[in-house]
Amino acid sequence: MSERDIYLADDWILLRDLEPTAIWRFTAAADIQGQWQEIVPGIDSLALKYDPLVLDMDAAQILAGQLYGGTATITPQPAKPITLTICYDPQFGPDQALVANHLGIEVADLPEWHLAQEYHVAMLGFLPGFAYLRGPADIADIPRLDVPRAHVVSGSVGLLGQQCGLYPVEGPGGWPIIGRIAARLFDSMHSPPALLSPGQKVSFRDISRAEFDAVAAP
Amino acid sequence: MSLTVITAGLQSSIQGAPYRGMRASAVPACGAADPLSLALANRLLGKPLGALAIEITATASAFRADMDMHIALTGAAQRLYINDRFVTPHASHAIRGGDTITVAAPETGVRSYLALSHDIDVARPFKNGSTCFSGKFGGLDGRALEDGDILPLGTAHRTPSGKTPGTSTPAKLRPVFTDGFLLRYVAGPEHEYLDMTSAAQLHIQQWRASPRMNRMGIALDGSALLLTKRKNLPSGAVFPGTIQCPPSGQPFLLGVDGQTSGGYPRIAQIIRADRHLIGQIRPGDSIKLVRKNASQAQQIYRQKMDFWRQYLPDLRLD
Repeated sequence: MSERDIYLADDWILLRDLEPTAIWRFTAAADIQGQWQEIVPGIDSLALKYDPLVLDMDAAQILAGQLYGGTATITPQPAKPITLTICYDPQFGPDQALVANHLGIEVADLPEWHLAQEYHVAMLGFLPGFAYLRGPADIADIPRLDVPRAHVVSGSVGLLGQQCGLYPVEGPGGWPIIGRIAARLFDSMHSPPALLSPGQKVSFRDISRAEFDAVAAP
Repeated sequence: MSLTVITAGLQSSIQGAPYRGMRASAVPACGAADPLSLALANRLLGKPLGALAIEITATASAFRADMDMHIALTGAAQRLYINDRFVTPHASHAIRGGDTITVAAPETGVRSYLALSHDIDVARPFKNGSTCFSGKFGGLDGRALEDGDILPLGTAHRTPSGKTPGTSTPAKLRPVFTDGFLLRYVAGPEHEYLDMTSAAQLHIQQWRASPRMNRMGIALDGSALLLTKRKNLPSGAVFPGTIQCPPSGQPFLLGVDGQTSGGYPRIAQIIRADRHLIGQIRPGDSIKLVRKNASQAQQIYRQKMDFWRQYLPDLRLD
């Protein structure tokens, strides 16, 4: 563990420079503490929000500090690995050529490349239920689209930087899009509403357009 | 039992308390952009302070009820009409079925809150029901109100026994909005990314609210800030009141609908005590940022809550 890097606002604390496994452990431990209004994992950080009427700054800082010392015995229980069906129909993946070009592979090989990635959910952000997936492979950073789209269809799968992003709802975005999944990532009538959660392993299985249309039919 | 939207205006939506404890699922706070004004409106009708009401933005709007009920208006608008009769904001008014309620556009401030004695009977995701535009849930199908919409109304709220709501807000408790806002902040996690001059500029210069604004955030016009570190950060948590600075040097201030994460340097954080003001800033308003340390900010928040809870015992500011 590197030196503790802690930022203090007046009602939230940011623990920075954390490895993914530490974020998952700290998240589980912070949840057990039961004192935080929000526990928000980032890619390499964890934010803890509290009400200063309930916790003063010293108390909050002590609680946060305990996460560093006292979590070695906590084994986070990430949600069960999930396989998402994906369709790489070119209509669903308008930026396949651009992404393949950056990866230095043929467009036809992009699905195979993507299916081989070992992803886990790093965090949710951007839009309700939007999942940022990361894998161990070190790839060339995939750049943002020059002109962001005003509307990206829900279920769209994008690649940006080192990350794979899953659109839960229609939204704007500069992520190059390579395919579409059939699963519903966010359901406001469910608790928890997001299908995916940090630490969860995610793999993809490809299906044809006909299969996709059959599953996605209302 | 319903309320018909005759004129929705620029952006009216059903808003109440924020979504709490859901940022890890990337659900923004949502809820009233000015939660203090919402609480004041609900207080006048004896309702829970975070009960759903209609948030009206900047322009005039009009509604018609098909039944007798009580209403109260707070926030930016200063003129309210029942049919052609002028009545005061910050008071509860009886209306008859068929009456038209007209809220005139405010001259300062942006958002007004029309509370109804009868509960707005919409689906209540996560036991809340505030409209979440980005998630397309809450309120009326997760969208802004449109002309002709019909809001179903439920039962009249009963005042808890022994308590009678005041029929008007005491004059000294009515927030006054001008074209200038003073917002206190603490340094953000990446405050040191600003060069020394820019760090000083943050609180010395007078910022102006850009027309580029909505419930998600407000771009701040002023002389551009200079970042000494340009690298994009791995995405991490942001909150309402976080001020981020993209490479352009034009900072933007996040509102209640702001995303839960971001990758631009977080240079400042508006303190909890002052975040309710963000929802009343209109384009062109001047904004003065005043720096505090985190302990001072907590003290200010506690004092403000002590003050308001005398009149609004269950008030929550996030």
